[in-house]
Amino acid sequence: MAVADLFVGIPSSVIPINIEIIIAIIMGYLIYKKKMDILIPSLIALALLYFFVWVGTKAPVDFTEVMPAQDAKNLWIILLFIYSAIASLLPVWTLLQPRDYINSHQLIVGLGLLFLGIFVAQPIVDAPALRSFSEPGVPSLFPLLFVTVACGAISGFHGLVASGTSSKQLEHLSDARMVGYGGMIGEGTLALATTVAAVAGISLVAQSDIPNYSVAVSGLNNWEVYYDSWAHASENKAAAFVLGGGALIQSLGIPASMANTLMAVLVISFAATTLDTATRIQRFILKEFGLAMKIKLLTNRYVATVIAIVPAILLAFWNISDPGSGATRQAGWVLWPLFGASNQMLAALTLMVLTLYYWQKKKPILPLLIPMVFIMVVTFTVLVSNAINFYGYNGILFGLTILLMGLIIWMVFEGVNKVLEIRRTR
Amino acid sequence: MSSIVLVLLGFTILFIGYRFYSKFVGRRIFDINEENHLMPSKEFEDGIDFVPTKKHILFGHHFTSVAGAAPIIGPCVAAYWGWLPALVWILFGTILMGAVHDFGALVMSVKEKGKSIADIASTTISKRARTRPYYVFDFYHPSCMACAGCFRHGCRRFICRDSFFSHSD
Repeated sequence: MAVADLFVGIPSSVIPINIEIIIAIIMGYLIYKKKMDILIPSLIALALLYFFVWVGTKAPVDFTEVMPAQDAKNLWIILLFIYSAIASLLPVWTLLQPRDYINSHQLIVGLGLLFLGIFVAQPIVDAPALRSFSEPGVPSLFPLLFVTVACGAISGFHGLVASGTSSKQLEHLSDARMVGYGGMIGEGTLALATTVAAVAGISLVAQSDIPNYSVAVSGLNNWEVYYDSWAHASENKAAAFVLGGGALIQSLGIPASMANTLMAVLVISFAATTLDTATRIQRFILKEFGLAMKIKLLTNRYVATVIAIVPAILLAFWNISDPGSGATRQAGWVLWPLFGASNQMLAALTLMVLTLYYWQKKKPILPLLIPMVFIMVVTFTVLVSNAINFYGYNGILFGLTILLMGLIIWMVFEGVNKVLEIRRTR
Repeated sequence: MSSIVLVLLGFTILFIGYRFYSKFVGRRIFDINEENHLMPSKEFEDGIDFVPTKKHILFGHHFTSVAGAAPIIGPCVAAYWGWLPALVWILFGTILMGAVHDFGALVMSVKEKGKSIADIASTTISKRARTRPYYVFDFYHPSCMACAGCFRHGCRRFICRDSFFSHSD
C-alpha cells in the first residue's frame, strides 16, 4: 500500500516503475524464445530505465488531478493487487524473472552511486560508536537491536523465497552458493550503505532539513539532532537513508532533483519486486497445504491466488484504531510490530528444520544450531516484553503475541521430541 | 573517524563471508558439489513455475525478491545506538546467520524436489509441523504487501519537503 502512496506522492515515479513491466516482457521474450545472449538486452534495458526516469520527471502521471487523493490511492492499491495476481500466475520467465533481473541492475547501480558518493564526499561519522546509556530513556540493546535491524541480518521470509520460487528455478546445485548466500550478501551490502548514510551521510545534510530540527537545539551535530530520542528515531523510519543517501549522490555532482528521483526509484523498486514473488509463494504454500489436507479446491492455481490476495486486500482497506496514538490506521500498519517477531520466528523454525535435517545426515551442525538458539532466545524475549506491554491495553495484540509464544514452545517441543525419537532408534 | 574506514571494513567482512565461510558451509554441510543431482527445475520443468534459469538472472530475481524496504528502515532506526552495534550485527548476522539460513533453505528445498520449507518440516519434524509454519506465514505474508507501509513516512517527508517538520502521518 505504500507503493500506492508513493505513486500518488511522487507522480514522476509512475512512468519509470510501470515501463519496467513492458521492458521486462520484451526481454523475457528475447532471452527465452529467441535465445538471445543476456548481456546486450540487459544493457539496453538499463539504459531505457534511466531514460524513463528522466521522462518521468518531465511527464508525471497524477490521478489526483481528476479525483480525490484517497480515491487515487485506492485505485492504485487495486491495480497493484491485480498486477500481483497476474504476475504470480504467468510463467516466471515472461515477467517475474526479467523484471527482477533488470531491476537488480538498477539497484546495483544505485548502491554503486551511494558507495561512490561516500568515497568522493568522505563524510565524517557524526555518530558515536556507542550511545551513552546514562541518558534517560535509552532502551536497552538486547533484544531490541536484533528485531530492529530484522531483515538486514536474518529474515524468515528469505527461507520462503529460497524454498518457494528460487529452488524451482535453480539450474545447477553449485549455483546455490551465489544465489542463496550471495543474495543475502547483497542485502547486507544494502544494510551497510544504509547504516553509513544514517551515521555519516547525514552530516552532509542541511540541519534545517532534519525532521526533528528546532532552533532551540543548536550546537549539536546532525546525528544528535536526528537521533535525539528513541521515539523520533523509530518514527522517522527511513528518512535518514533518504536524506543521507540523497546528499551522498549529490556530492557526485548530480543535481538535487535527479538525486531525489534516483533515491525514490531505488526504494520503490526494492519494495515492489517483493510483492509479486510473495503472492506466488503464497499460492505454492496453499497448494501444498491443499494436497496434504486433501482439499482439492486449493490445488487449483487460480483459486489459490485469489485466496492469497484477499487477506492482503482486507489489511489494506480495513481500518482499525491504533492503540498507540488512538488514530485510525490501516490494519496492516497496526499489526506491524507482530510481523517482525513472526518473521524472526520463522527464521528460527527454518534453522531448526535445517539442523534436524543435516543432523540426521550426520553433518557438522554447529553453524546451524548456534544461530537457531540465538534467534529463538531473542524472539522469545521480545515476545515476552511485548506481551507485558500489550496486557490490559490491547486484547487482540496480546492474544496474538501469546499465540506466537505458544507456537515457539510447541516448535521446540516437537524438535526435542524428534531428537529423542531418533536417539532411541539408533 | 572516517566513513571510508567503515565501508572498507564492511566490504572486507562480507567478502570473507562469501569467499571462505560460504564455501566451507557449502562443502561440509550442504554438499553442493554433488555431481549429477537431478534438479527440480529440470525434473518437473513446466515452463511456468519450474524453469531452469541462468544463475545471474536467478540471482537478480532472488536478490530483489528478498530485499524489501525492511533492510533500509531497520538499520536507519538502529543507528540510534551509534554505529557500532548496528554495524556489528548487520555484518556478522549476515555472514554467520542470515546468509547461511537462506543458502540452507535453498539447498534443502532443491534436494527435496523443490518443496517449500513448510512441507519439508512435515517430513523432518512431524506431520503436525506442517500446519504451523503455514499459519505463521499467513501471518507474515500480508505484511509483505504492507511492508512498504513502513517507509511511507520517510518517503513522504522526502517528497513533500514542506511537511518535513510535522510528525503526523
